[in-house]
Amino acid sequence: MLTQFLINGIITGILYSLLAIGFALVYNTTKLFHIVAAAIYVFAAYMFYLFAVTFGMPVLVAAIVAVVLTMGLSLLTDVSVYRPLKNRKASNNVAMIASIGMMTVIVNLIAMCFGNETKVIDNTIHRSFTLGSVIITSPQMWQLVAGGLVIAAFLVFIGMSSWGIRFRALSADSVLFETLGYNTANTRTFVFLMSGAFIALASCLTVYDIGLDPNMGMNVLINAMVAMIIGGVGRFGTCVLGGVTLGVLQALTVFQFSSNWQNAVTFVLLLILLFIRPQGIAGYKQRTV
Amino acid sequence: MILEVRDIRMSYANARKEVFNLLNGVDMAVEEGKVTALIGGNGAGKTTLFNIVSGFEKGFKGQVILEGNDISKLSAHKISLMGLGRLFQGRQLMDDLTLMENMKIASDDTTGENPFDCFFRRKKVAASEAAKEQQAINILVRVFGEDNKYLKMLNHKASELSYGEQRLIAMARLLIGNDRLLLLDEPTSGVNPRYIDTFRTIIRDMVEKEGQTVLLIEHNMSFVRSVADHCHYLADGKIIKSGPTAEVLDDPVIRKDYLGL
Amino acid sequence: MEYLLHIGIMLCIYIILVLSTNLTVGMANLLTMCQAAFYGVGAYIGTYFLMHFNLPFVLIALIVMFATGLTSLVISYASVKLKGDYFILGTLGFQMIVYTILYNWVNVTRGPYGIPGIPSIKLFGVWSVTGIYAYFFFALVLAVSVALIFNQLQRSPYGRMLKAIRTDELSAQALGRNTVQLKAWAFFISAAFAGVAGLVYASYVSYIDPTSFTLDESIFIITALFIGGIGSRVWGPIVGAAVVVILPELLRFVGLPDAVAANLRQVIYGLALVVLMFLRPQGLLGDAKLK
Repeated sequence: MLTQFLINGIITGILYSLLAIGFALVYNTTKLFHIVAAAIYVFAAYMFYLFAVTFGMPVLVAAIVAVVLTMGLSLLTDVSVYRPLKNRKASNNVAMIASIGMMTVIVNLIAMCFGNETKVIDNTIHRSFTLGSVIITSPQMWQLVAGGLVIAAFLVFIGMSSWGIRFRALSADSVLFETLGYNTANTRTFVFLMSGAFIALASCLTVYDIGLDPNMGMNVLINAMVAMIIGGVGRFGTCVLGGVTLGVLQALTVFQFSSNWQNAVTFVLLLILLFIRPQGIAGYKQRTV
Repeated sequence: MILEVRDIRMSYANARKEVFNLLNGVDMAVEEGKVTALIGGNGAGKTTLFNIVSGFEKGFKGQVILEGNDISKLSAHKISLMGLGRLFQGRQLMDDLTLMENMKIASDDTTGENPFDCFFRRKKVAASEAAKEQQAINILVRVFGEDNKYLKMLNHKASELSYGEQRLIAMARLLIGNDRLLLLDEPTSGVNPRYIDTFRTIIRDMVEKEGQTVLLIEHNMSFVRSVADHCHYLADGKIIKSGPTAEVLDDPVIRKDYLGL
Repeated sequence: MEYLLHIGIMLCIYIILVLSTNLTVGMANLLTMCQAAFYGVGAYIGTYFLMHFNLPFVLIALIVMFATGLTSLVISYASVKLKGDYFILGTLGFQMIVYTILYNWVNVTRGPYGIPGIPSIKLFGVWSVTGIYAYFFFALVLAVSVALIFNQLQRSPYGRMLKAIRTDELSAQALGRNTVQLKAWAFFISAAFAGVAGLVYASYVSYIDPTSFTLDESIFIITALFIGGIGSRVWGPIVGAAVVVILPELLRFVGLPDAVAANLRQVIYGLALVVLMFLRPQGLLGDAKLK
């Protein structure tokens, strides 16, 4: 029984990790508190719904279309709001408020078009796999495999490719980055596109069997932010560590208490962490200038 | 000795877990009633040392003794209340506040600085405000003369003053509180040379008229020579040389290492 | 006419809410995302006293203010330990925790079922405030009083010190001020008045449930504050509250179905926020720039 919960927890953890990476991509490189990611998450879900259900396209195709469109939206938030604000020397807090504004606009536009009630993409009982005493449903298999592979590929990419080094350089010092001749604009574009992809992937994989509503974004995003902090701010591999840890802890809470309180666990954990070890499990203390 | 700093050690670790020893056993004593300068190259750790002494930096080893009291573990504002004033590098007045407000916040008298006084102790607050205003005007007159233009700018936002003027006034207002030791971090840096004389006058005033002690960080050597009695040279995480100003500044090793002469 | 009075009452409640938020965000530059949590705590504690005791309004208000203020200590502590983004995240976490407790602790709060039948406020323990005219008058007097209190507070030496902390906290500490304590007071007062707003709200609508005190509500309050202007003493928050409360009513005349109108209203607020951050980050009447 416990193993079942643990496996569920790990799989949920992978979904958190994906979203955490999506958020961290923007936060680590630009220090922007990318709250609109919650809306991007919702957008991806509804695009998936639109193409898979309303237009009746095959699920895989719909998902890909949704991911591509979401990448576009993610880039749009940077190009239309973040970058112009940066050019006006606006502070990060101002950008964050603008991010909140964008989130409100996008989420409510979606609600206006699709309605406020919960929608479902696929209601049928799915095939499941049995390994010993553990049951894994087909959607869960997708989450585990697709999510896991993408994460692994990304970590390799970050660690080894020149783009990965560029991300890390941009995170460390954007002014120096530019002085050294790297094109900040191009790297930023790439960052936001990738962020959109990760958020969309997390969204599509999750809502496939759970369903979607316009207000689900913030809750999930907070979980992802907590995952990022648990693991350790500043790096990407640690997002995975944090995501899986959070997923497992939540699963254990459900196992021990009830599912109502699993969110409370997240927030209590967040507060404890922020007070005791804000750099997370594997992060490092940043020297305050 | 009004201030003693004993075996201060401080290091940083960066992302790659490389440890960098900024301060490696600093011993320094500051004599009461004199002007002492702390000099050294960029990044030598002078401002960090100031932060440690004034309580803004806590991750260090060693002791800080102010007038015989160990203040190593005290918070910054408590240390300030014990009579330590600080002028930060690069910071001037608070630009959102008016000139008068900037002067008032430097007062020792904190009447009214809690949420209840403005409702329940109106008379007392009014009286203390009037006293603070008078104090502010007195300081401005003392430093800038009887008919100075700042008296007409009391209700203007501080941002309307030039950087140099703000630095001067920020330093002048340290005369308001009853500080015994003043830490001035690069007071003349970035300031128009025509104000330098006024800085010199204020510092000498602090020591001779108010009986305060001044410890300053400076890169302007002619200013140091003209205003400081003693000098400490910080390099490689230690105080390498201390002594009367002329002696330190004329030391050939220091002249080569720091001044490049 | 009754409908206009209803809007007036809600406007007064929001004026109090936005004024209270202005103290921490506008004066001390502490962006909090948990004002609705204090609003909710005040509403629920106020409800408890309204339903079980026959106390005059002033007494219940004082109790609510004190109790809600106490919960702000968590946030005060957070502001010491957490810097910048982490602090905002902490307030977010606090907001979600409070909501989760209100929603799940069914034994005490009745969770999603809400608490119906909340009695009205009794002035001096005898006169019940009943009827919409009475409530409007009461809410108006209260809102004006609160505005006067905040005005006085911000003109005082205490308000000056909060402004100083907003601009340069380190220098304020170097001048011997206990900035932690000063900020804690600001949080306490801010939470206390948000709690009072909750008390009035609970007794006016006579039914409360957790959905009125969500993160969305916190964001809504912050939006009102930013539209009206941060740093301004009272007129910024008043204008901001007026914009966010009255605007949806104007939309009604356009004839949209209620659900769509609610979303459209949010879209307009969101757009207003983004545009404001470009054109005038300090808000319509504000004078402080966000750091």
